[in-house]
Amino acid sequence: MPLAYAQEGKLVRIVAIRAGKGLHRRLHELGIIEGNLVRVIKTQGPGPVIIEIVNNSSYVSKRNFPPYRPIATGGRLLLGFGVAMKIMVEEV
Amino acid sequence: MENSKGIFKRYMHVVIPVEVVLGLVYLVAGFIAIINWYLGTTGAGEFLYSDYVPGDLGICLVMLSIGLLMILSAYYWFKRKPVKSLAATTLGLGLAVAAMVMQVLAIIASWLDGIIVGEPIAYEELVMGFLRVEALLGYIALPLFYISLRILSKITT
Amino acid sequence: MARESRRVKIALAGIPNVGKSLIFNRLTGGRAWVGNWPGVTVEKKVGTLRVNGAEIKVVDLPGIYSLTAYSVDELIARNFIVEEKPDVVVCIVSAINLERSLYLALSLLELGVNVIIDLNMVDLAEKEGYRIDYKKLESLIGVPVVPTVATTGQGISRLKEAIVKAIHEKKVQVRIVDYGRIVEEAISKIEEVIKDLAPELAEKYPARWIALKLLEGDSDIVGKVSKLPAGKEIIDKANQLREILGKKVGDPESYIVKQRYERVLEIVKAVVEKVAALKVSMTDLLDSILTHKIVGIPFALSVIYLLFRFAFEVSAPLADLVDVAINSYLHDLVLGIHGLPDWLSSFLADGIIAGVGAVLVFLPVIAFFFLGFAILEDVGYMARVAFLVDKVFHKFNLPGKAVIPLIIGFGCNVPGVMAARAIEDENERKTTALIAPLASCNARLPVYLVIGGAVLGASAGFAVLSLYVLGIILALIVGLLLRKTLFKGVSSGFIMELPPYMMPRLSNVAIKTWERTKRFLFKAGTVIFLATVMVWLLSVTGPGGYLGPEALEDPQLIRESWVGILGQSLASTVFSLMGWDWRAAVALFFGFIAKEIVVSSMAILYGVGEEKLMDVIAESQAFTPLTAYAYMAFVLIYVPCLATLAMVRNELGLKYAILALIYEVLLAYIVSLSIIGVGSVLGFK
Repeated sequence: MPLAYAQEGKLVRIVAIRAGKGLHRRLHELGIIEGNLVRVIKTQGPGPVIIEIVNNSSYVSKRNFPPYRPIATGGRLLLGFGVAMKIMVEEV
Repeated sequence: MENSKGIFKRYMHVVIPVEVVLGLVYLVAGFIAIINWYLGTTGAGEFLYSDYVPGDLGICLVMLSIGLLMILSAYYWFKRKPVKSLAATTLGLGLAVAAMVMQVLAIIASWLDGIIVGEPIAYEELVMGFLRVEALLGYIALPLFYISLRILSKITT
Repeated sequence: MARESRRVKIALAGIPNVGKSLIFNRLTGGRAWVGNWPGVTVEKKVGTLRVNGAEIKVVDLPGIYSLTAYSVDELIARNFIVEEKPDVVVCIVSAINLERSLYLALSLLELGVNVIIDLNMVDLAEKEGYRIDYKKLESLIGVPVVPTVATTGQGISRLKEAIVKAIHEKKVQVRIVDYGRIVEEAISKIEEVIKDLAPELAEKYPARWIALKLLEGDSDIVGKVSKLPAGKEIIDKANQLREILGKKVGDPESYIVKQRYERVLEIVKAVVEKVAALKVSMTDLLDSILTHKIVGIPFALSVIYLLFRFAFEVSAPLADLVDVAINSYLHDLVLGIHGLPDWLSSFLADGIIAGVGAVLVFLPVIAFFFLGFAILEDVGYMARVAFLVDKVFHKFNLPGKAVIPLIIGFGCNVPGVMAARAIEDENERKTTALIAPLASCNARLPVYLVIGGAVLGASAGFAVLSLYVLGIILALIVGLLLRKTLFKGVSSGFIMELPPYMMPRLSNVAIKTWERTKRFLFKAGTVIFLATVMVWLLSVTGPGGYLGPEALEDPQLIRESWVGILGQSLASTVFSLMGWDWRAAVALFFGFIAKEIVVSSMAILYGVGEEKLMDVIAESQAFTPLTAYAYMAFVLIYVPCLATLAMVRNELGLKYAILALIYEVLLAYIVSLSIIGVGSVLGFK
């Protein structure tokens, strides 16, 4: 399903990116890569999303959201509706 | 961290409800503002508390927003999410303080303005300006805001 | 230590939001030369670092995520590094945005750059509950790493020392990423070919880097290589290998990027250590409320309302101070000078001084507005606003980010149009720049207040509010139309970093405010000033010759001036349907040049001072409530000012500036006419 429809607080894995070369590359460099894990912090679902890239190996437990969360070393990204529709994910 | 949780537990039962009630006052004031505005444009009927509550849509928006935030806070409170509840009230109070500050600054500015332009200054009007609803409620909100903010910063990063 | 005989040069690189500008300030003492990179509208900042008696030139590269050929900013950075060969590139890595910042660092290393890493924001990382073992990072990555806290200045002196050291001890780590056997083989093959057939190329760039870029299909490098004598051979070989790789590992470009990223993740995992039990993050908590579906928007609207209050009401004494000082005091002073011929007196007082005054009166409002806006931006709130509106904007095929230029436009359209640069997608950027002028800027407000106040009485406030809203609605509709026709394309949406909430930094805020206010001042210093002088000229002269400054005070006399004639012809033709008289028509004409002079030119036309203008208009019955409202709408929509058009031309080109001009005037005409039409039908007068 598109990232735009993912639920808040959930951890998802990126399955596919349906975008042109430029956007595709840009997303890759931001850490949005097929096979990577991402957590959805906030969504206007369906709509734009705020996500956090989760380092594959550092995230172990299933503990989700507040008040305690695993270390997030990368910042947050805001993805507009259009972009979020192009990223296909599956729940983990 | 145990310490801060303790502080939180002790105060939240008092602080949050007080703030929510304040928020509801804002809500009421907001509605009065709408009524006054409506009366102003159609020219019918008496203003309600017109000295204190202007028929200004902008301030009405702010007051209703504050009220809305407090309602959200109450919602979180009853859903047993006291931390989020406190966050909501703190933001609501923040908005309240901001509104009060703007009003105070605006009154001071108009006083200065009067001096510069050389017009006679209507002091009663100025004083009433400082007592306008968002300023009045804002004075009460200020210490509450400070307290809530302190608590919040102790329990978050 | 021997002094370097040639000037030493270093560059600062980093992804957005890592504190690069603050580091730049700390290194150069805040003084910088600001210009543009040649040929583009991207800002270039250069400063001087003085350390150990030496003077080092510091160039601030644009904030970039990588060094591809897909973006102008990245190409600028890349070309700068290759052509100007800085001695050191300081890559600023944010401790709270490790993966993305390190990705850039690795890309720089692969380009053969002498990098040192400035690990900034370590204090914020501690707050998040982790620490970075920078010594380990140093050993893993092979270049010096200096932890800093730019906001307090900690680590800056060590950074300066490290820079000096790195100038003399160059470290290069081109092989920082291992791409796996298959790809590495391909890389070696291409490297050989390059070294054989184009050794000059291998002198300029690391051969490995060229090989990687060719495998990635980098358009810029492919272009450069194909121009070489042996180019075709090299490219053919590369394409051959690309095909083979394609079968074995999938799209070569994606594979390479992924591998690079994997290396980043490896490094991060190795150097990060958790140090504290975690608490909730303040930013998260606040965001859960501020981006809340129901509460988020009212809060945002309230904040914007308070911003307006701050800009208009709190700056009022300053504006009046300027007004009194220039338009009254100075004006009368000049008029009182003996021995000057009448016309010169009037020219100086009513032309030049009035011109300057018309502009400076707006300065406080605009400055205050931008100040408030800059504070909100620095705190990080604006990104959340973009998030809130994105869903709505998406329906109009625009990115949520477009809301920012529109809001800036409420202060002054000129920097508003310029702010559209921040939007990545070209079509969306052009659309946003073209609709930004529909945001009702500060200069239009006096017109609303005077006309509305004179004719609409108590409903004036509501009317003004409705105009602001109308502006936004029209902007969205026009935006949608543009996106369906000229700038077609699916909304690529937008990607924005969401920085943690921070206390606003005074220097940042001050710089931003000054830059935007400066835009307004420039337009003021030129266009408006000239326009006012022109109005004066056309008011005191007419086809019958020179009429004298008395014309400025005699309504009858002024009908005979150029201004009067112009107005009457406009009123009887173009504006006859709207029922506006010649004075209103003339004011519109001059308003085309700059809105700021609409009110002052009206005052001249009625022969009164501006204070009495409202009463005079009300008495003269030149407007009915309906025509007044239509007039205000016209003012809202038609070209805001010459300076805005000039900015559109600057950003998009002459063609689009003309387009803007035409569509805005047409739209204004249509809307005003409709207002009058619909209003009459509904029974308004």
